[in-house]
Amino acid sequence: MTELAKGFPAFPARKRRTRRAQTWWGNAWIAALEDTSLDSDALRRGRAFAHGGHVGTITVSPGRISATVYGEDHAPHETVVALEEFSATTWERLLDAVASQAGHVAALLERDMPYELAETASDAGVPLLPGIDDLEPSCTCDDWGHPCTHAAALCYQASWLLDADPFLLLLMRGRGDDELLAELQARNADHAAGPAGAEADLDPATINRVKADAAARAALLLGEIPLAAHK
Amino acid sequence: MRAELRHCQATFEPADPPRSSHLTFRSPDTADVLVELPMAEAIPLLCAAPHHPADPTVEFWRRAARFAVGLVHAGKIAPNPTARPVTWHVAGLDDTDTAAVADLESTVPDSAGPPGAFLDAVADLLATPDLDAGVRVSLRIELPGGVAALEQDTPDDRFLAVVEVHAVADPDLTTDAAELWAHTDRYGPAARSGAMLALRRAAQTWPPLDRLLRRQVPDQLWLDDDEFAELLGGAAERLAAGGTGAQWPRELAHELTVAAVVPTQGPLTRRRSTRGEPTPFDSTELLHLSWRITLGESALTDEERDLLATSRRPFVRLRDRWVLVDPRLASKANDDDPKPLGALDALGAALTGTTEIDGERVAVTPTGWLEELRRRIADPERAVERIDPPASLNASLRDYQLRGLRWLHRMTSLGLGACLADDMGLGKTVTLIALHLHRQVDPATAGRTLVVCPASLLGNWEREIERFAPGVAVRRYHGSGRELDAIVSDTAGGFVLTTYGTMRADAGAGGVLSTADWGMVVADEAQHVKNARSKTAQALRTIPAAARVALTGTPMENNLAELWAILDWATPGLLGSSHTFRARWAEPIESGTEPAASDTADRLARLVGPFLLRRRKSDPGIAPELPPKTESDHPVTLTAEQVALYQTVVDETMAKIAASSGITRRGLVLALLTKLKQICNHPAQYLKEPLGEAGRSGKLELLDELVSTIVAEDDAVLVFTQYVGMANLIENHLRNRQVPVQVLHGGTPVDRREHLVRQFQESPAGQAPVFVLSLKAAGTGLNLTRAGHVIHYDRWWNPAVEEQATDRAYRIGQTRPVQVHRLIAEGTVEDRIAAMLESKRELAAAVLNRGEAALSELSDAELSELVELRRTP
Repeated sequence: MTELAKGFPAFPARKRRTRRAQTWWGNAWIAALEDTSLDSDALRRGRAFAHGGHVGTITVSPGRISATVYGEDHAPHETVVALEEFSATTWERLLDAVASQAGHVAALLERDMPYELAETASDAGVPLLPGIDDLEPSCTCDDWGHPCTHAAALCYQASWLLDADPFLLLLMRGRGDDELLAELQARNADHAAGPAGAEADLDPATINRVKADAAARAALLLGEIPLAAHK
Repeated sequence: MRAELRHCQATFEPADPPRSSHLTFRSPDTADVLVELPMAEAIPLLCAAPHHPADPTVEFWRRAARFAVGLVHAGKIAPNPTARPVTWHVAGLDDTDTAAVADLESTVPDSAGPPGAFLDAVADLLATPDLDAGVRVSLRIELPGGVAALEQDTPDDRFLAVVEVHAVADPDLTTDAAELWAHTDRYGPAARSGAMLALRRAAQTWPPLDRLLRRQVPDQLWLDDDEFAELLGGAAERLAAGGTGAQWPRELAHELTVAAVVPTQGPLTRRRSTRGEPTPFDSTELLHLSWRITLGESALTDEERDLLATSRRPFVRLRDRWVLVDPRLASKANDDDPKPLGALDALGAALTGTTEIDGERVAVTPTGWLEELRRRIADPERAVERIDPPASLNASLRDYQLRGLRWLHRMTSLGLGACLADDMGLGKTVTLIALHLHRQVDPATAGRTLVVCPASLLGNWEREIERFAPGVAVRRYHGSGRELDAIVSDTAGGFVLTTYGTMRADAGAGGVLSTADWGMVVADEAQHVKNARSKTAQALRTIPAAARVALTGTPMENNLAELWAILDWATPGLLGSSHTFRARWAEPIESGTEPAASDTADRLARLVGPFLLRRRKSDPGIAPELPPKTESDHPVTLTAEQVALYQTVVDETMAKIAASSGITRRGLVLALLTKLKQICNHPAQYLKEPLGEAGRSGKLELLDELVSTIVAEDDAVLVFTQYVGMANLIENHLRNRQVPVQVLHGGTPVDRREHLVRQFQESPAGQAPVFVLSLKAAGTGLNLTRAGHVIHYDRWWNPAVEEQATDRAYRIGQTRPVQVHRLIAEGTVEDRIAAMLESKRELAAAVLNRGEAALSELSDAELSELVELRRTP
């Protein structure tokens, strides 16, 4: 599934260290990191690294995010934060649950992830967002911290990326956005059509209604009033 | 249908499903594909195309399209139920139809494509609404339990909001949202996601719609009483502003309306003067309002109002019907009367039909004298009074000028102000003079009129008053040593003219202009006070007058701050404070948020309409009344610098002339005339120096006035001068003022000339508006008919030459009237030459033949009389 990976250019160093996640899901992601940590010093330094432009290009792919993070001495470290991919059956449950509410599909179409959507997923037994211990950091550095400063820096920057696009979370869970949206729309429409579908389509009443609608459009055309669509 | 497509070769290319077929148009010359039109675009074009000469293929498809659409109109179509997606084709043809099909088949031009498949493609297209290209949603409120449900006393789930989906491009293409999900074979995913997104946005406006979004198929939503009342009481309007409409249940009448009636106390009719005219409007009065609730045509009785007031539900049974009740309306059924309105606010409410009460926009019904006043002034050009042109007016007014006079009289006699904003050349000055004369007839309105205008127009006003109102006193209050007392005592019932600059100095607290007694104050070229905070505008406001009239030739309707400044001077308080005006009118209009912007603009137009009269030269009712060519002389005053130079040159040269003879004398005379004309044009031309600071030449200032009005009217102008030097000065001056200008003179190469002429003639309105020409107009082949104005910056001595120049713009084939402006320096040789030529026929003939040289044969005395500088009156 590596073909699904997305790369993001490094954030430049910032003068003022005020940037927090803007969205509830960005903050939930940070909470998962901070609640896991035993070392508030590492978190503080990680935040400083994140703002200081120590993190190189970030790659988001199924199961993980990764980047080269540069230490105080500019030494490069290969840092990875892993997050468990969903299984096929988990995806089934999630897609069915989300597709069952038009509002969830519409929200995702606008790259929004309302809290209610996460609740719906959670009710279906699918934790969209990572909880305590769900983020598994690893790094080539010698730090003892868990996470180390570098992994913490990567996580803080990841929350900024998530703010802009919640689909990155779903990408870590294993599916890309285009595929997901198409699948969600199909399920939303599919389940609704029901077994009556094609037959009901062409009962005599339907046929007569279609004919009447078509005749009305024809009348507009014959009256030399172009359809509004073609003014 | 676009002409170039008509002459293309059109080929029908069938596809599956048939509705996705298209027509390919190929260039008749190169056979390149110009455009491929999908059926949805091609069919309306073909159906609407006139039966014009066209390529045989286009004509064939036009015939086939109308035939196919006719079949669909007659219901002769059927589905193919096994196709995925389901498709439609023509079916059930009778013998006539079959014969027509056979005819099409046998006459199809080569390479046009298969006619049978075309007919089916049209059937499939019209039977299958395309909702994939963008949708809007609306709510159709139903009452599934019928009116019986309204009798129940439990207010839950009585109303069903059914979601309808419309194509953005064609609101008539509509279906219920449920259908979009039920027929996934017919509707694509884009239609469904469009509907979901539209509902998501609507739910941000009205949160109960969130419940729709929690359904898998957002098709319908039960509403309880409270939600229904919310929808009725404003939520539906907010949704509509965001593009989501609502339709109320058919079973319920939606005919209850409320309006604030004004005035409801005090006498409803006003006494009229002995002349039958209404008494002036008193803007200090307070008018009382009350609510009137109407069902259908008639107002509710007290019992019915009580019923309404006590009903706590969004519907009530009145006059044997169930009636929808907007909660905002119900609350007014037993409310106190609204607060009284000031008379001007009430007039504004009457004109716009609405007002704002406690932050809510409500309808207003004017009654009694207020309604009579509204009707009287609502349409400025509808004459309600018979007023003939004043007997003492030495001119006959054109029809539209008479309408303008009646309007000005109507507004000023009511004590309301007016702004006459006709195009330049329609005769605002003569109309105003007529108004002044008319006001003198009635002792109640008689009095002297103060005209405030730019300095460059003083001479013009004076001449027009002398010409159109001979015998009426006119004095200038301007320049150093001015003394108002003497002027005032000389001008009972006459005119005092002053400039904006003088007025700024002499009006205001204790200023003589503000303490004098004026029957009427006129602000000419009122755009000079468009900045209400300027000292000039502030000073103007301090001058009291029974009547105020603004004149301007520049359109104000696009500049709301300017509109406010001018109308707030003419009728103080009409538009509210500038702050209120911005918040209530300017901001909504300039925000561009529809439909609020258009709606507010319409209301503003109704509010200011009675106070602002603007006719364009091109108006169908005006143009036929205008002569093809109007000529006017514009006298301008020399500046102090010009006077000094002129005087010096006359004194020195006349002494030399007296002491010489023969060729020397002749040369001196010609040089004198040239120098004087140059000084009149601009000191910089005579001194051969750059323009220098502003205010050195009266002519150039008047040119600015004329050009800015012409530019504002989107018209164009030819400026003629005899001197290349002056042409260059004018060019530099206009360029400094960011006015696009081009110059042509005798030295301009022929190909460059042609380029300039073409550029001028073909420029769109508002671009390259000024063309300065310095060559004698004899320059052949110049066709400059785009210009509606011609300015002669200096005199040509010879009327025939002037005429010839004018004819560059005024030619056979010119469809618009042309205005000719001649700038004349007052009291100078320019001013007197025409009179001299007029009185001495022989001399005139000599000048016609020989030009200026003929003037060199005048005697010293005659010459001196011609050139000496005379002080203006």
